[in-house]
Amino acid sequence: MRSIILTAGLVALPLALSEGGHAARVEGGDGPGALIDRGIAQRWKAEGVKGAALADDYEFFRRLSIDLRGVIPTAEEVRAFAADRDPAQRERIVDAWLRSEEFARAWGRRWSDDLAINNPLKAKFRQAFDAFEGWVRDAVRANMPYDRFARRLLTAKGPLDLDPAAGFLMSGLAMSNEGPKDVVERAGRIFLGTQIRCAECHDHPFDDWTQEDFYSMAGFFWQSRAEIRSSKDSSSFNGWIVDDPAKGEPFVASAKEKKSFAASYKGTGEGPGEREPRRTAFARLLVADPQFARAAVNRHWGMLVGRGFVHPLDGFGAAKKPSHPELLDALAADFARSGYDVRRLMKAILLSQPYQLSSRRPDASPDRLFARALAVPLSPEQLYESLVRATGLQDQRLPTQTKGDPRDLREAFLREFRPPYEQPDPFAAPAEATISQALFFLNGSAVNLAVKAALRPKKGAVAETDPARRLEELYLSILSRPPSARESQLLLKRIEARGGSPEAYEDVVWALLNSTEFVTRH
Amino acid sequence: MSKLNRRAFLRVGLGASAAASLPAFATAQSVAKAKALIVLFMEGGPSQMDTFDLKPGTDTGGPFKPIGTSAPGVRISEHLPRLAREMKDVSIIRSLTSTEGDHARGQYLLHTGHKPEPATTHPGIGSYVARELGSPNAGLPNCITVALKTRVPGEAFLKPEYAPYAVEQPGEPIRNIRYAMGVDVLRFNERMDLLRTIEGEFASGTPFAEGRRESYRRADQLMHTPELRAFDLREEEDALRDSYGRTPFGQGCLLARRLVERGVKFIEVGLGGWDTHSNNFEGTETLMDTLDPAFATLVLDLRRRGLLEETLIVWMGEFGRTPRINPQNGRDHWPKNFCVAMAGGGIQGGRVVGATDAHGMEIRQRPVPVEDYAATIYQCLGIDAKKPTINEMGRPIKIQNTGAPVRELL
Repeated sequence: MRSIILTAGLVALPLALSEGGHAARVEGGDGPGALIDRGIAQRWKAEGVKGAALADDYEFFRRLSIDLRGVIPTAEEVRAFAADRDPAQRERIVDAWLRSEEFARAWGRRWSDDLAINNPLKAKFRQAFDAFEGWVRDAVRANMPYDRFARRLLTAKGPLDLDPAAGFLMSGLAMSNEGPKDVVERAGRIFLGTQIRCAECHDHPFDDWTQEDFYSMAGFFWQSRAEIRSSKDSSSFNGWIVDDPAKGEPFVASAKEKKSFAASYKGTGEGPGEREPRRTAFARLLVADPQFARAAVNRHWGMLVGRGFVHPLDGFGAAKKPSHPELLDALAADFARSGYDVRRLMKAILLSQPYQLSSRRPDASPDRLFARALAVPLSPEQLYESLVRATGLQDQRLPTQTKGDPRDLREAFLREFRPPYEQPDPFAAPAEATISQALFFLNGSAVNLAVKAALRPKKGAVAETDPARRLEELYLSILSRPPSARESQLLLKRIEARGGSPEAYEDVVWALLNSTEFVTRH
Repeated sequence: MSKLNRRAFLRVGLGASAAASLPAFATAQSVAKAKALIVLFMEGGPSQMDTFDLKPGTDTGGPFKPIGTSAPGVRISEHLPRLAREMKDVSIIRSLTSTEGDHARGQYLLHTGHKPEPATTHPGIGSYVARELGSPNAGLPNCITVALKTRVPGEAFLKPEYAPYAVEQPGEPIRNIRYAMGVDVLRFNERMDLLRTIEGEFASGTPFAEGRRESYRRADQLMHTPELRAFDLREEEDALRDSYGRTPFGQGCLLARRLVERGVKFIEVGLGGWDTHSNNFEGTETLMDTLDPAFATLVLDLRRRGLLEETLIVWMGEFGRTPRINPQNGRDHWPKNFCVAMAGGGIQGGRVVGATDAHGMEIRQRPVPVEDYAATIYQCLGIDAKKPTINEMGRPIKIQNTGAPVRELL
């Protein structure tokens, strides 16, 4: 395994770091990857911080798998990657996974959940939002340019079954009278990385947004509403967006006066052109705004690295400086020049030095310097999928313990781990392990079924009897790495003391599944 | 104590412990008396028009009649007859007001004392109470929810050990508390040993890893505490169990009392079904049939045991319901004026704060913002919610930055 210490002295070398033929990255001096390496390392130097060692192949591979596919790799995949001597193996796997169906599915889910967050219709008309998720998945698979992605979401008319992109606006507009405001809030949060809703009631306390700005932004959506048709039993559902010029303009009424606002982008006075539909005008002005590319870069960086240059990802504001302002601007300009090529941006991030650092280091520098990889708890979906992949557990009916509990294992699992309120930014306040979640892992049937599944002989495989090799197999399956010498020694001694009984192995699996290492991306 | 002194005292907001060292203040009514908080959460938004703020004989009033109570001059719904007998210990705010008419937003507001802001997720009042008053060595979790159908704000940026611990069916064994099949105490200890070996120093010093390890410690403690008996309602006499009502809510209130006796600091019991957009009167009457015996018996039971003075009870929902009756004979969401009831824990009983007009459409007297309601709760518990707490971004924020306690209740 490699363990190179990256130091500030390497700043001048936009070249790959390698050992034993494993190159981290090979790229010219002006690409986005080189911008990242330089920008991040300059700050280390300025703050007297040293970067962590490069992640070994096991650590890198598991992290990449979770970030791109939403799940840990299989033991076979881990072994193959570790055995690969190709110097370009990291670049190859990044390319392959960015084009995989698993990536399209995981990121389609991630984006559609975020776009349609806390949407009351989502729970009720699941299949309609499956169509929306499908549309986002297609966009991810096709690497739809990001400006086009935004434009389609903001101008879609529906109906949902034929034009599922309308699901984004439906999420906001279905909130009755709050609709247009909700849409502006969503669009602002995702595409501008800022929370403009605070300006609804008062001028923004930390920002240069005024109440007038907020309502003139809402003006672009003021005449839009969602029409919904559903059968009484909610089994069929369709909806579309209607733009109704008769609806007038947003206003704020006080005892003294009634103030109404014309559609104007960020209070600049720029609004719809002659005969230009309002939503089309909004999309046009939005993608021309340099903040659009900045927010996009910050969002992708944050989703991959675990923390934005501006954090939380929707925390842009006049009073908040990004951790790396020049780097963010340079990456944003590059992203716009590339025609908003999302896959190119992601690849640059994934092959950059900071992404490839180890998460383990003795001294703790502030997270905002990106001098080591961050350990972030898996999302509930990632955790469940990883439990399944690690052990071969299958979804199944549960014997109900308590009335009202979910009957299916997957559903029970997700209900336990989902936070009570959907978090707009998955990394802002990670769901930590509560006492209840700890008990779920300590004693719950899901984990015990997983323990049994992990030790069931695999179809067609010859049962392994050598304790050391069995232990290694379990480690590769669950933690995506072999045990350390110390772990091997301690655990094999325990297994031997119990005569290598099935219970001894069960208990090791149980402990691996309960470890913090298993439940984090690191 | 002079008025001036009392006000000055309120302003500095000394808690119970500080007050204890100042005997001169000890008699002040404002000294925190409550050691625990029980919230009765009416999920869906209960109709103030049909429970605590009736307008009989008007077009908005509906069919229910008000009845007199043990508190002179205080009248409540005829469908709360047993609670009426306890009203000398219960006070009502009839002029609570907010602008949040969406369930999730209203629930967030009443549970945190804050409007939802996309920037910050605030901790629930229960989690904050658990953190401020709970003992780290308590066998039971310090923040427990019972029979809740919706999920309410949790610990947010506070440590995960303050997350609400959900008991879904009061009286049933609690989930995942027993060893898995085939595991006994020896094997459980072996497993925990193995876990310590594998865990090592992984991600040490990060809030996630540290918080998780603390939750594991608390979970282990919970599995093995004799206090688990608290959840076994069969220890109670049948007559008392009947008096609370054999409903999840009624038995939940009984469980709440048992938990308070064992030092749990926050319990929230849920009663769902108040979202009466149609057939409001049938729905509300049925719900009051469940609410009345449970709420009344809880007050009575705590008083008999000498626990009422140190236990604050709060009855609330996310908003009220429209005075106007809609064509489906229902009432819709109405945050403009609605009611909460409070009892025990230093609250002066039998009082009414605020008043609405003849049709219940406007507040006539003393509007009470939700921030003041939250401040009242913290005041009763002797918690200074205005001191800075460090959030997940490492910034000091105040759990409460506005709001003043409702003096008339203290």
